[in-house]
Amino acid sequence: MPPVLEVRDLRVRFGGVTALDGVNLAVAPGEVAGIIGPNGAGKTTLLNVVSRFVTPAQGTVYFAGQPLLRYKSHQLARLGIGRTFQIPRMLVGLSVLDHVLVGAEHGGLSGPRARQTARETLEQLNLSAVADVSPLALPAPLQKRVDLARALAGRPRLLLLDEPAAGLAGEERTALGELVRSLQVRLGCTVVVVEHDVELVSRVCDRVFVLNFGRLIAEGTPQEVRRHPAVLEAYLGEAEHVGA
Amino acid sequence: MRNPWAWSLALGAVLLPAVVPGYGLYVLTLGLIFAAAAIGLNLLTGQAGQVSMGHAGFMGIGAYTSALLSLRFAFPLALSIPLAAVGAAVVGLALGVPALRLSGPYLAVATLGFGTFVSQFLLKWESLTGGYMGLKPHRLLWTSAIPEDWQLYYFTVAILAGLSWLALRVERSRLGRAMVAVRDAEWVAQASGIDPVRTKLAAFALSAGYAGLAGALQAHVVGFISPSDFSLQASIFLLSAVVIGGLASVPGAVVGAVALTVGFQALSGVRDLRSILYGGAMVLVVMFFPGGLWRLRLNGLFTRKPVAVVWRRSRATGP
Repeated sequence: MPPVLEVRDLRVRFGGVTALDGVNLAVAPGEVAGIIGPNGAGKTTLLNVVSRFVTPAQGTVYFAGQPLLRYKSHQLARLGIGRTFQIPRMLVGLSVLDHVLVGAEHGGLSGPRARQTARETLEQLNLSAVADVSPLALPAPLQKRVDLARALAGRPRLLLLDEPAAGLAGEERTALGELVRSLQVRLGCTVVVVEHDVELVSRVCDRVFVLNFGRLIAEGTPQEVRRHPAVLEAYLGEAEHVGA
Repeated sequence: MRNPWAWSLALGAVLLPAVVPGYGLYVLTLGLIFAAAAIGLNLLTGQAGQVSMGHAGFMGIGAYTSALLSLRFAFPLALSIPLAAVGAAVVGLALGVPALRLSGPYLAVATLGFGTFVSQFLLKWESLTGGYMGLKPHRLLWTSAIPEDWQLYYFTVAILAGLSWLALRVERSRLGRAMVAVRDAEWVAQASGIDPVRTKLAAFALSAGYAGLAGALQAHVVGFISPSDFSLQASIFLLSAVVIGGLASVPGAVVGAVALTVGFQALSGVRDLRSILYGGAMVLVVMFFPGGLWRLRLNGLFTRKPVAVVWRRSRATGP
């Protein structure tokens, strides 16, 4: 079975800045993969290339064996790729249920089935109680969960999470880690998490990729990566966090 | 329709001819015609977030299309009016294509240019449009040679009810939710599987169709049209109606358009002060009631829940 996500020799430039420089990585079906790295390492750029918001100068991206760069960003949901955003954007005037319904009905489901899936997704994420509320009335952690529900409602085979723990407190981070793991088990989708929180990534991910200055400097299990000399060097100043 | 305000409005609309004299009813009818165009503009600007400063141009296209089809080619009004809506929708679709690359003030200027182009076009092509002398389209007739004000009023009410129903259906549909997503966060919309190009084009076409139908109604209710009816001033009037009534709200657009039309007529005695009073009122509404008049009553009387649903431009600049 081909990798769900495969990136080959990816190069992205923004003017004179090289954001990604010859990145190669592959994520196997059912894996929870983490992408970590210091600020400006190119993590979100990589996610933006995969979700087709950024076109690379060079390289190819494959989703389940088929070339992804021929598609536009809005076509990916129907292919089976969902993503969340670091800062979730709530849709004004739509209830939480409608918000999630957007993900379901444009991800390939129609009519009552889309509504049913949206309700089920809210149930899975413990959001049923706020289904009819405006998401703007919710605190930031719950807004993140609504954004996750929207992405999940399209029933993705590959779920891309952009810094899901950003802005969350300790307990919320722990709960998020458990949630991501349980979702992977229940829905069987492959998950790619871009995250700053090395602890969370270590707990949740099967495999970790480390970027620094646009280059892939290490990959392996969380334990292997945490001992990797290049990773320790990249995280100088945060070394105790990585090695903890 | 569970909303008591909406019921009150509907009942009031039916009973109004009993208490409002002839000319007042005629002014109200004009307000309802503007309301039809405002509902369409509201779908484009309030729901899909695409500003249009030239919407009276679509009304002009609708008005002249229906007038010319009926005058020159003897089309019955039952056919020329719907064709006018279709024609305006097609032009809206065509305008939507270049407008896709624009947003915010650039889109406002581009649509303003479109509105000005249409009124100048109608003015200059005299052999077809009659230039500044305008056209005298057939009036809507039933039994008498001159239509009664109450007949025109009820006819317009019926059309507006249908258009409102359709707009509410669109608002709550897959397309309506896609419009909101494109308006508030285009990146989120795309990541969810929404094609922003198709969504914006649909909004442009639908909105222009509403304006075209309103223009055609205006032509056959008033019995006279000229390019000045569809000038920049008329476009700003429509946009003001949508903002004052309440963006992204169908009843808001109706209330805004009727209030502005009636207010405009009521202030005709103080012609010099009218613009000042209007401008002042608009500033006050935008500053203190950004949700518009329709949401103002929501906060006050029938619900204690705060209305968080105030339209705002929170377009995502990036993920």
